[in-house]
Amino acid sequence: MTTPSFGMQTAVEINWYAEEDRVEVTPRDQQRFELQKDRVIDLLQLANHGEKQLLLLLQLFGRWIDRNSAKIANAYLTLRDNTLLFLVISNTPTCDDEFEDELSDLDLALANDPDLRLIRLNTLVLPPASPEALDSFFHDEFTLVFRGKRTDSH
Amino acid sequence: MASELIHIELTSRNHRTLLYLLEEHQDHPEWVTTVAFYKAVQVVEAVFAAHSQFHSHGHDARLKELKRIVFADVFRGFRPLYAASLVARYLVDNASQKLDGTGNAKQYTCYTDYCSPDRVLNNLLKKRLNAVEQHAVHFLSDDGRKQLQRIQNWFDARGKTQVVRVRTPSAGQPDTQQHAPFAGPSTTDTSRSISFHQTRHQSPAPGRAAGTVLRHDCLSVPRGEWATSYSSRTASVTFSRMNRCASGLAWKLAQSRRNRT
Repeated sequence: MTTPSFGMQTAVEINWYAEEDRVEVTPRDQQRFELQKDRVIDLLQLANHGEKQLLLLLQLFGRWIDRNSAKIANAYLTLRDNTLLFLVISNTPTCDDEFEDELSDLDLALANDPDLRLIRLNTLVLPPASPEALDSFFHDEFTLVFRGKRTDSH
Repeated sequence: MASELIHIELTSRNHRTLLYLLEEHQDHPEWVTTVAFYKAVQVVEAVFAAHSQFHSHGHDARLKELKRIVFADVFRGFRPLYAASLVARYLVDNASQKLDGTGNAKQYTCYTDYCSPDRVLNNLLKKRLNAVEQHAVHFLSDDGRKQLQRIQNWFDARGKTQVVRVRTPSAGQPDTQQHAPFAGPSTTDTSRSISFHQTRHQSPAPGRAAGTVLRHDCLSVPRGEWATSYSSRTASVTFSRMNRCASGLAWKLAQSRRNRT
């Protein structure tokens, strides 16, 4: 993935690394991540299990981003209409049907995963555009940006 | 709570709007996308009403219900339509448009960068909306199935289209013939096309080279389906366009239609 061309002032950066079959997600700023995580749990009215499910979700995203990194410029987790939104900025402005299908399958898999039953989430791919144009798709108070890359050779 | 058939009636209204826009789909890809999405919304609501008496109060609730395994095939068609409609409605990049000519070619500037008019037809309508409708009918009642006007019918009719060509004679220059408004791959049955030659000579419009035919001078007429498949509104719009663009053709076409019937 490339470095984001615009700065999300409130975004918390998290690193994701894939080694073998294990994906590790590490917030770069643990304190700010905790604050945002608590905020999203409040907003989504999740129970105590929400925290674990959110972390599991981030790991699954890391794995999916890793598989599709060639098509992804940036990936974010934010809120839209009081629901989590996994927002992917593609590398090209043209709508990619195969990529849309990949995201639909991910969306269905997450929605029907019993280990993520507290998570309500939608997905969206947007073309690369200016920060001003994309800004309305991000929540003011909760945005995570995925950074990092796989560290193994397979 | 609206019943299945009420939602089907709403799909019909959106379908008619879609047909209206499709006449100029090259000029309105955003609106074709948006209306196609809202038609899909009503199809999905009809499915919910028929299958589980569920009624959603917004996009989020609708998507949540649609992600149930039983509706997975409908969802796979619906979600990309939803995404495209969000881009069509909300992604306006004024900053990139200002850089027109000097900006990055890999950056979105307007909706057609994301989805060209042809892609709107072939990907969003023929593939996605069609998939929603195709899978939705499995959940609908017999009446719902009968009343649902499917986009596939439009593509089928388009495949049987014949071309009426109007040529403006001009000395020393070959006649220019443009494709029909809905022209696309395998849509024109030229072997069955009929040509009306405009007999009245027209002076070229100012700034227009003699022999150049206006865009709407070629009309797409479904063979033998004027009175059956096409709504009166579509016919009237088409005739209106004909009147604007090729005087005398409307009369000839109406005469041809009378002869056929």
